[in-house]
Amino acid sequence: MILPVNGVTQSYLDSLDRIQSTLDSVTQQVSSGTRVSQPSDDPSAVPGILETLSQIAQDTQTKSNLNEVNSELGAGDAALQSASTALEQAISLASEAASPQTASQNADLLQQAQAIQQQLVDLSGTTFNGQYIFSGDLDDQPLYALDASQPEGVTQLANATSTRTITDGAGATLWVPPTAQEIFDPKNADGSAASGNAFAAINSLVQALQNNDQAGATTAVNSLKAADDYMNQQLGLYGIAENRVADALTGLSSSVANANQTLSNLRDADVAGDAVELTQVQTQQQAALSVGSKLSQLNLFSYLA
Amino acid sequence: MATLLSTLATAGQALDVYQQALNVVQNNITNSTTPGFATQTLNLVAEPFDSATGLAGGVAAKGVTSARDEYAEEEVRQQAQSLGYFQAQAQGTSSIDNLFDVTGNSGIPADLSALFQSFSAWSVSPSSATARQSVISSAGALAGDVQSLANSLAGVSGNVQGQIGSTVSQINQLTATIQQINAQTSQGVSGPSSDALLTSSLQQLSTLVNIDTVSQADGTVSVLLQGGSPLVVGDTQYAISSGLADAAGSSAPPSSQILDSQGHDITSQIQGGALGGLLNVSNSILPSLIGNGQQVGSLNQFAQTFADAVNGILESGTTGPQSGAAKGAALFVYDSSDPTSAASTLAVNPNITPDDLAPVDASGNANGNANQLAALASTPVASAGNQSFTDFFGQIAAAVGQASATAQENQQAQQQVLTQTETLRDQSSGVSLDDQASLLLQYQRSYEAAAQLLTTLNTMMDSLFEDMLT
Repeated sequence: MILPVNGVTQSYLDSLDRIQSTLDSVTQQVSSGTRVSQPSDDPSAVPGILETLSQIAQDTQTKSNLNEVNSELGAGDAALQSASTALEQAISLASEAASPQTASQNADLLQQAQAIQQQLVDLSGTTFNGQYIFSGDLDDQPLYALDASQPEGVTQLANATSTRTITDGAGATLWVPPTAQEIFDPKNADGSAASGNAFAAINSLVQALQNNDQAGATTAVNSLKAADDYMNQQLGLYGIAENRVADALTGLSSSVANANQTLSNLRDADVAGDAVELTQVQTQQQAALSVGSKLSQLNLFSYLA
Repeated sequence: MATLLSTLATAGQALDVYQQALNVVQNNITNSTTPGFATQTLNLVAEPFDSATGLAGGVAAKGVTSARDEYAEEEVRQQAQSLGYFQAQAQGTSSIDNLFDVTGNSGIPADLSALFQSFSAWSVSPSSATARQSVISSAGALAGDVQSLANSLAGVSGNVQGQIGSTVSQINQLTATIQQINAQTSQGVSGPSSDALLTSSLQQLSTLVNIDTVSQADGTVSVLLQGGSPLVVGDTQYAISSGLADAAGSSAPPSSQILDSQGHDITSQIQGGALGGLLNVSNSILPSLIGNGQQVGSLNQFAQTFADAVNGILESGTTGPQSGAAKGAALFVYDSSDPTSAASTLAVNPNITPDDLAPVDASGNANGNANQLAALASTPVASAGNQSFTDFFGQIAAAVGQASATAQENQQAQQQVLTQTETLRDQSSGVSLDDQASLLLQYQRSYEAAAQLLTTLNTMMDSLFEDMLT
């Protein structure tokens, strides 16, 4: 049928549909704050959005990992500082023992030296979150136990390597935790105690005191100083690792911020633009409805009364 | 006297003709909103007039002419067919589009991130039972959502197949109607109402399937699929049917199939209308995701390559750093005998325990495998098309989104084209109430004038008779 408005009416209704569709879309964007709620909203942006979301999640997880590593490094650092302090006390004891002592004084020094020896063994078995942080890959057990029958006063319970690699988000190695063997019990190629071996050094003091051997005590002073120096070197390595982790954390924070900005660019609604468009579309709709109401619905029959 | 009487007869005939003309106007007005109706016009012809020879002239009705424009009708059918195709395609792809969550808050992208995060956390504490359990839990969530998506897509496929069956039924109902009209036409009992019903039925049929029409000499209309298969020829209907074609030697999802009345596969001839759009969704878009006899489907490919990549890493390592530690177990399982069911059968290895996970790589690095697994989040993988798995899934979602967006745009554009085409057709063949009102006035006045003429002639005859009797 051709009515004065009929041909126009279908187009008019189509136009109203399009206006309503645009209105719904803009309203949805403004209310949700995002312009991509489902793939068809912007197919080309979807891979980028998902990749960016994944990157944020991975960076956030890496930050969490590194914060945990930082705590582990702190625990290790504290243990090595305690070990260094213990060695300094042992040096003091050894210096005293290098001069003539009464039997009572010698026994007292021996007791203190043995306590330090026990402390060093305990420190080599420091745990963090239930894991032995100086046990390398065998982190469910300590590597050393006190054993007076052994040349170095300790027995090695297991021979551990350390292959656990802590990386930043990009895969670069930040830290490979050293083992108690490397920290407390460095060896020469022939298996003898190397200079800086804390267990050997404290045991030499204990033996010197047990034998009331002043010369031995003098030798122990030097061994203990070398062990303390070596311990401080290890502490330095922990410090370097902590700095690396701190830098990596800073980098990750920056990366997450950048990724969030990228995500915002890809996904977020242009609220200001949408608000303007919303106003325009509402005006369009009102105008269209107003025109529709005023379109003449009359035809010639209306005047043939 | 003879001339007066013939004039009287001519005036009476004029009244009859104008009565017919008013009837045509009445019919036009009452059918102004009848689908398929075209304006009709009574052809008025002047009778020979020559007073010298006694030809009294007058007006005669010489049949009714329809304003129908077959070219315009054909154009409307073509556009309706395209609109039907895009509408069905848009509806189908929209259902698929809604299944893909790209917010990152849920669904496969969120599960992937959570699993990679669990791998990452595990890499820092490879011996942690909690970290290992977290890996298994995250893997279970991912496998569950992959299965859920595959099953939802299979559900959409089932719905589309149901719609195909329903559309085929509608097509057969319409071709039955056309067949009945043809039968009436061939028996000479058809009329304007049949013409309107035929036109309306053909347009409805066009929205459902791509057809060609051929007008026959006996007035019937043959309807064929554009590939040549007949739907209606004369008073014979050739009903079509729908079915599913299983892939030979495979348990892959079946393809939708359209069969002619002889049972021959005519699916390839269905390229338009709603049926064409539904077949496109059923046999092309959905199989690109969940596979069929010809392809694995991108979702299955994603599930299989991801499971293989994770399993490959885990099975290459050992569960601990100590010598003699057990080899790692596969984290995922799926039905490897049927590549098209990889997604729908993806699950966490039911026999795995946290202790069976292998963080140690083949070189003996305590967290080497865990680091490799965590790196899968962003590392391009050859088996995934040299892209990360996140990107792989993103491309699948993007392809779905693109198909949906394109179908919706096409639908909107085609709706406008059809509206314009219908408007053009209606301009030439639709009923204009203004025109009909004008004709009504004309015919009414003509009828009144003829009646007045008849009255005048009657008066003249009365006078004549009175003169003759006095």
